[in-house]
Amino acid sequence: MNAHPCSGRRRLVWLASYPKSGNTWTRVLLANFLSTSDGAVSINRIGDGLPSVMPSSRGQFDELAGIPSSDCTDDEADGLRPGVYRAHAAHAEQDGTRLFVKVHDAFHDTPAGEPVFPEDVTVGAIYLLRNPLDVAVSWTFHVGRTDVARGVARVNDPEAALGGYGSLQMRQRLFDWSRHVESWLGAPFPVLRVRYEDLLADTAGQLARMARFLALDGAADERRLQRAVAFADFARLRKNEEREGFRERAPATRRFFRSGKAGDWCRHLTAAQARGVVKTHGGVMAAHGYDPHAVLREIEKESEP
Amino acid sequence: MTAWTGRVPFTVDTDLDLGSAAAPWLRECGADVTIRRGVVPDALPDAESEGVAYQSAPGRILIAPPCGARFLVENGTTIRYAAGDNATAADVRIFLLGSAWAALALQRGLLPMHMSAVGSVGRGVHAFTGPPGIGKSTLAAALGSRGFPFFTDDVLILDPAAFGREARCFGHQDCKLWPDALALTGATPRERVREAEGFDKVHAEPPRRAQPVAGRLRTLHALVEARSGVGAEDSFRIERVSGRQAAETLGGAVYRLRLTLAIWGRRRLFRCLAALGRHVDVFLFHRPTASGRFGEGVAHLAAALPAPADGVEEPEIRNG
Repeated sequence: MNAHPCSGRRRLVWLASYPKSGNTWTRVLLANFLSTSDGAVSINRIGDGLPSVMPSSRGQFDELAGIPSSDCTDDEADGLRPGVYRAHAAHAEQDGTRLFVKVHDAFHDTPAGEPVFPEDVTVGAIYLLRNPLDVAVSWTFHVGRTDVARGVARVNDPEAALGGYGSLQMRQRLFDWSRHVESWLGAPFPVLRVRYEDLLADTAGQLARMARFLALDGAADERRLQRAVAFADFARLRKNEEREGFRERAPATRRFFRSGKAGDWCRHLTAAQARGVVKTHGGVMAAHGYDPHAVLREIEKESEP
Repeated sequence: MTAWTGRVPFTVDTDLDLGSAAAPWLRECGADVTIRRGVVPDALPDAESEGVAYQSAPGRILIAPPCGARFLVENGTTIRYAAGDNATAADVRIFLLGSAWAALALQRGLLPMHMSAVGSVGRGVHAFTGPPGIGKSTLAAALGSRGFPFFTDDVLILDPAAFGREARCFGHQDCKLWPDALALTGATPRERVREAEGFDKVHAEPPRRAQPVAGRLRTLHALVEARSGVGAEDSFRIERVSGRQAAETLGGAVYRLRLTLAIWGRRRLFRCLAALGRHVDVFLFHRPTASGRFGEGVAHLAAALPAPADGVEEPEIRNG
């Protein structure tokens, strides 16, 4: 795997994922890896360790665009986003830094046919991938609901989007889970695929992959990797949230860091719901190591009297 | 440069219907500013700073929103606009009264701030700031049902020339709300802000409107999303801040900070904000943002603001 350092105008690293696929955890991991402080980076101050911008932030958009996004249509705002990212990159170049950009959009074009995420200012993308069955469950709880049918509908919705008109966040077009995955893995710049399940199983190993991909200093420093992993331990993040809250938590739910497990779908989805996800996404699931046949076997086993 | 003409810091002669909210600023002759349809360049060759949708050169600011309209704001005295092929009169109006109006104010030595506000002359103006979409306009409109007159939406203009005595400010009272905010505030919908499909924001008549468009800014509440630790309920809380935190809050409320810095320079802006800080009490309003609790937030803030009872002159701040 080639390393991709930032240079010249190439200053942006896209941390892309379908929502509830480990994006925040990855940001905490990278923040602790890059941080020079002695202690753990607080979940409410991830930017202290990880120079970041939020594409969903209307404030950042309005400041760089010079006009209010709330007076633009969502399509018009999309049309300005490549320019906003180039402006972020230009400022990062002036500062000699690299910016990490958390992204939930699929990789898609503006109405004028230009990619929303411009290749010319991109270092590369880390694409976080998670079993859509678990994504459906995690999404449901994230928005403060218990009816997982909503989460299933979300990952299957070809027009799914976050934010938009009247919302605190800019519109982010997700599409369905399969299209999201394929859009990013087909992007015209280097993309490192990181599966959430692999991140759980070997956190230090996957963090080392990310560090090598981005040519970060210390990518081979085992002690530094382990320190970041310890500081981003899921139990520790939960305690951090219990103590001081988390500003990225959705208002309708009590906790952002909930379970973090792989395979939790078995406890929450009905057989019909799981079959529906497999029917829609089986091909892409299989291509990325989520065996749809194993899922169906699991469902049948659970359904046996 | 600011000339006091009655209640507004400048007057405008325009060939465009700016709506009733702009009426106090309009003059048919002898106005300070002329707004006319005309030829607007695509770019400023001598631009010294630029954003995605604007360029700034000495004495000139070009604003080009994606609806196709373009505005050239020159020397604080003229705005030329071109509607392009696709922009409607409503599109031109919305960006003229927002971004172009703010650029004009900057050129005239006035400081536009990203604030919505309630209040009226003699009772002080009480403003709210925070990220776009957090609910500043909705809150200002909803306070009308508790007796606080609506003063301005999204942009509040300050006159630094008056900072030796007071934080003199101006609003344009063009209240714009999304449908869910209409339901929360009791405001009456008027015409749509734009005709684009799916863009359901409307001009609205808030429950109570301030008659004057000028006043004295007394308090600023920055709206902050409350996120308590697990197990504790998110709660409403008003926290008075001072020193560096107050200065940062005021600085964060500047409308288009980069453009302001480009036109004014850092030293002038920071001196201005320091002077402003001597007149304005700054608070953080921590509030849960779940829409089901919006009414609680309005009640909490209404209880903290000086009561809008008749006959009260410049009341003291009660919170903090």
